[in-house]
Amino acid sequence: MAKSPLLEALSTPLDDWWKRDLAPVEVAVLDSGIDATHKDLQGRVAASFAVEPGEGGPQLREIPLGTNNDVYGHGTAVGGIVARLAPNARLIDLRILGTDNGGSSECLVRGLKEAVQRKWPVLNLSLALKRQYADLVRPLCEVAWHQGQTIVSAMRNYPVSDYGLPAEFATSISVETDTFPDTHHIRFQPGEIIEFVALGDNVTVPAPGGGYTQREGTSMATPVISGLCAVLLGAFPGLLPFEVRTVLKHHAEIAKPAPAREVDSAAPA
Amino acid sequence: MTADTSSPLAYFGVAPESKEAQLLRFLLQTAVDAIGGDEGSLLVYDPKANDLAWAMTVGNAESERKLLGARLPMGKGLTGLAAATHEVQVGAPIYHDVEQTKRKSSDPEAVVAAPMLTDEKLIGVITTVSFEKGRRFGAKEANICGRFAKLAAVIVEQHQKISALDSRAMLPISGKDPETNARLQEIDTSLKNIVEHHPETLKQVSAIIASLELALGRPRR
Repeated sequence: MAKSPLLEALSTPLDDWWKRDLAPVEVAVLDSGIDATHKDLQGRVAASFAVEPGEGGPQLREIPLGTNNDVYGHGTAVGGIVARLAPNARLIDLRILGTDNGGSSECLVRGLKEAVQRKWPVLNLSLALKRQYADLVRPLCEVAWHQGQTIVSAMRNYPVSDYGLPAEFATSISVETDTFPDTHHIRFQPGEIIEFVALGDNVTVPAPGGGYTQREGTSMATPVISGLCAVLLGAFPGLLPFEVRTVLKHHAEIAKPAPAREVDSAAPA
Repeated sequence: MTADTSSPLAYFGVAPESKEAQLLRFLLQTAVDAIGGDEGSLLVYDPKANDLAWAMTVGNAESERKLLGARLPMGKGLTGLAAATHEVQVGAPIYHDVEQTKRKSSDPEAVVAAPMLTDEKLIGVITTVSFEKGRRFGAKEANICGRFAKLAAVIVEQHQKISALDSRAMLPISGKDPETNARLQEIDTSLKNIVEHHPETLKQVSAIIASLELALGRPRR
């Protein structure tokens, strides 16, 4: 009898995932846009959109393929990390971050709704929403979880009052940053709200308009996990989000368990 | 205390030579020293123009002379990104090659930008830069900058609260009966709304009240 994809993934060393036939996997990058003209990203962006403030709420607009859709350079860096790590990743560039300070959160919620409706298998959010959006975002993440989408989201770089959403939700794989030898090394933190830690310190990334720069933080660690999810789902199609998390944990270094937490003090003070 | 509206610090309700301004400058210098940078800037967020304005720079008097009052669009660079995402951001120069041997951009060697937030609203950004060749900022510097930005935001927030209390104390909100108190409270609330949302109309409001006083036949103080 053939092994289940879960058992196969658990018994296959992480470095060997790339040796298998990798099925294409769509990874939606909800960010500042991607420069699809950069040589590292040419042919890697399968679709491109912009969510912008408009009459009656944020509006979705399709962007022609092969253009520079990045307003800050953040999304190009994030997309570049996914593309480098996951050769089978088909990037969906969903620009939700614009130059309008006030509208960004609403655009992110609108973009997430679109990503859930379109059922892209991996959603990368290297951004954090405020607590006030919890009631809007939680059901979207629940729907995504139940229909088999893996949401990977960043912890705030400097958490003052909370870790950021959707990173705090159990329906999202949450990511913190640290220094590791490479992107194949990750850490699992039992008992922590932020479960996974990946390489996000001084990462060389593509810059919009061509060239390379260094970036830093949880935003850069998150696409490492998204890239690994894309390879994992490409190598072992059909894995559900809880199985993806199980396999990642199985192949991660395990951190010392956190002390028991009181229910009312789940977030940092 | 009345803020000098010609200084970007006026958006904080802080006068340029006040002790709050001195404290913010002291804090900015301490942030630059703690991070080990060469220069630091404090930019204030102008919600009407949706951009940032340089309010102070430490470490280089020439930079301050050039930058003070200059505007930075929200969609511009790492500082704009920190403002738009409400997250600390760390940056480095752009190179033509992955090995980072051929420099493309003329940016500083290292930049860190942290948003100043009060009640999750953006009020400004603190940045620190280094021109030291090969210098890079990382998680440690991001953390320090984030902490100082939080402190700076608390200073501004406290100053605004104290100013609000001071202005409240100036109003005779204790009348002779509950009805008078309720009316005085309404006037107090209306004035505060005008001060907060339409400060540019205060001159006209003052003239209207003075005219009313004269019409009622009461001598002006």
